[in-house]
Amino acid sequence: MERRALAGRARWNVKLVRDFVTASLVVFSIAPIGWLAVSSLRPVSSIASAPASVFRDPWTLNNYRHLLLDTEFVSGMKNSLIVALSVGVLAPTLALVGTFMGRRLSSKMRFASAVFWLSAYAVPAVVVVLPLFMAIHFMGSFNELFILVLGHLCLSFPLAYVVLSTRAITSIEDGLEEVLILDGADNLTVLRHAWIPSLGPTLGGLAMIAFTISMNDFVMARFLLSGRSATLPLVLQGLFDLSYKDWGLICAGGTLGIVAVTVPLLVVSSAWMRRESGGMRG
Amino acid sequence: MASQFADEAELPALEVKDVSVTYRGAGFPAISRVTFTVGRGEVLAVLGPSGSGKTSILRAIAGFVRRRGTSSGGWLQHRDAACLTGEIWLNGIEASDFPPQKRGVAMVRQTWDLLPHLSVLEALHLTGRLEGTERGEVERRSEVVLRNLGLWRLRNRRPGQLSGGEVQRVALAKVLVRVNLGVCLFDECMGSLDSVLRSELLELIEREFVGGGAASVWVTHDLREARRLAQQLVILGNGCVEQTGTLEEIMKYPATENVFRLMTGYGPEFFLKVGSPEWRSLVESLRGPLECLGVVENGVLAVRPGGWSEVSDTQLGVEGRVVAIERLAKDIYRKVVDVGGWRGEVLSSVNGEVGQQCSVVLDQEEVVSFPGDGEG
Repeated sequence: MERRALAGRARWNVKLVRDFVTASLVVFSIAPIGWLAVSSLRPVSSIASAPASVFRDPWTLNNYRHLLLDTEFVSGMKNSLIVALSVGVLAPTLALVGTFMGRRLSSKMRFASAVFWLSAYAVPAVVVVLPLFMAIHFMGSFNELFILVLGHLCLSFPLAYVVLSTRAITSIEDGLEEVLILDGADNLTVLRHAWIPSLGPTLGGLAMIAFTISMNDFVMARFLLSGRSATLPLVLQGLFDLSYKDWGLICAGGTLGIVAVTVPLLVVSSAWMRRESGGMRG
Repeated sequence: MASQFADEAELPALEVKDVSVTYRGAGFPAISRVTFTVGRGEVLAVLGPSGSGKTSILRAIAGFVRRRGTSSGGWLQHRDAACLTGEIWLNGIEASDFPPQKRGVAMVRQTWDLLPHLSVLEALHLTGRLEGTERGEVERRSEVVLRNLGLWRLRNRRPGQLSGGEVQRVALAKVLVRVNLGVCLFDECMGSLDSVLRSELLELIEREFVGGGAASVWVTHDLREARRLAQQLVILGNGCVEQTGTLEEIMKYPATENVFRLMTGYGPEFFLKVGSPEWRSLVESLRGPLECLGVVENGVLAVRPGGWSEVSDTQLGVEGRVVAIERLAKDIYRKVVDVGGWRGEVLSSVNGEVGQQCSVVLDQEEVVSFPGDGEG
């Protein structure tokens, strides 16, 4: 009896430590975002005042009003969403079509194509994007956001292709395709009924990675975009000034930037979870 | 016109003529010059050991192995890891270059291959629509097939929510819902089933396919399945057809030692080498001249099942030793008897013990001989 009680107490201690570590990690991750969100609702004067207090001054939406009406934030958010959604849709879609076509190659050619696409990471992105930028610039009228989308695709596509190729080997059986083909299916039907359902979660994950990276990207946007079409990170960077920093605007912009990334992430992941749990029923 | 239709009805549903399949880089054909014919409503069983080329034949019939340089007709070709020579005729039309979609062929495999995101009814509807059948007809036909197979109550379930036996019946329903089905290929589809499910499914397939409108090719290495379903058998060995014919024909005149082994399941100890010491000893002890069987020098002898029988009078038979006993039914036992180093099968109504001595006689009509391999 005594030994059983000791074992029970040890298990309880382990559980306590595990829960404490988990809670600490959650707080460590969430706290800065929470502080940012709360600060965005406080007057500028009280954000940087010491000692810090959340409840000393009444909360206000002035920072948001100022951000949305007096800065390029809305335009930057729109541009970022255009780029991020384009990359988020195009990267997995092109990778899916590429993988589907690549599956028809012999194993040697499949390996060669995977090595080729992975080697894209060995080349600095600037080296890939700059000639593209120059070529389109010389051709005349061009959309800067389109160039940025192409630049991000150069980075996102190889990863998506290699991940999908690997997943396709384990997820999609030749027999499943062949039975569909014998039923009369063309390639698009095979893609729709055998590939997309099997690779759905992977495609969703790749879309979210591409969306998040291109939404938050600063370096490539700084390099490729002029002032005419700034993305959200460039607009946020414009809020910093060496002589004067409006912390209210920065906190409000940061909060909305985080919301713009996390809401789609939550929507996709919850849809994914629903799909997975739906499969478990019965 | 009537005579033309009559002619068409008489045409075999499937003719495989001199077909060879060579896989890229293999250097030798997986199957070589295979020829057979299957009529409508007939089931042809293809038997052979693992690696004998059974599945390659099915893939060639299905169109996944084609002649070099032929196109699938689509915007992408299915990868061609193998090359076909010879001809495949479907309903009297040379179809060797047809893409798989245009052949009117269905395939049922061991893994059953159902789309995981479609319910039973949706899967049948998709199959019917892909074939080009009108929507209303597809729905009507799906309901009829599902009701016939006792699956109507499961129509809204997905494969993950079905038992193993139900998945198999759905896979068969998908085949049966097709209107323009000419040939159905079964690729060792009973491999993972227990005996009860196997029996149920064989009954279902027998009911739906034997005598139906489509020809069926049943690939297996289980003789019991072939015996139950097939009218014709093709025995493969090392990619070549060793023998074709009915079960009775093949059992009566097995062409090679391999065919006999496959049909009986006998191991090497059931074969007796002519000229060996065991053979000499048995020629003397058996009542009858084994030498008169027309065997070639260094040939091999074996006895068909039922060729040995147990006798109670030890003066009439030769002495053997029981090495294994299997109870087949009430008062029916299958005994494996060792007679001077040559094993045989005896059906007996008397149980016994392993190691027990018994007296057996040989019906020389049931002895078959095969040419030897030329080694001393």
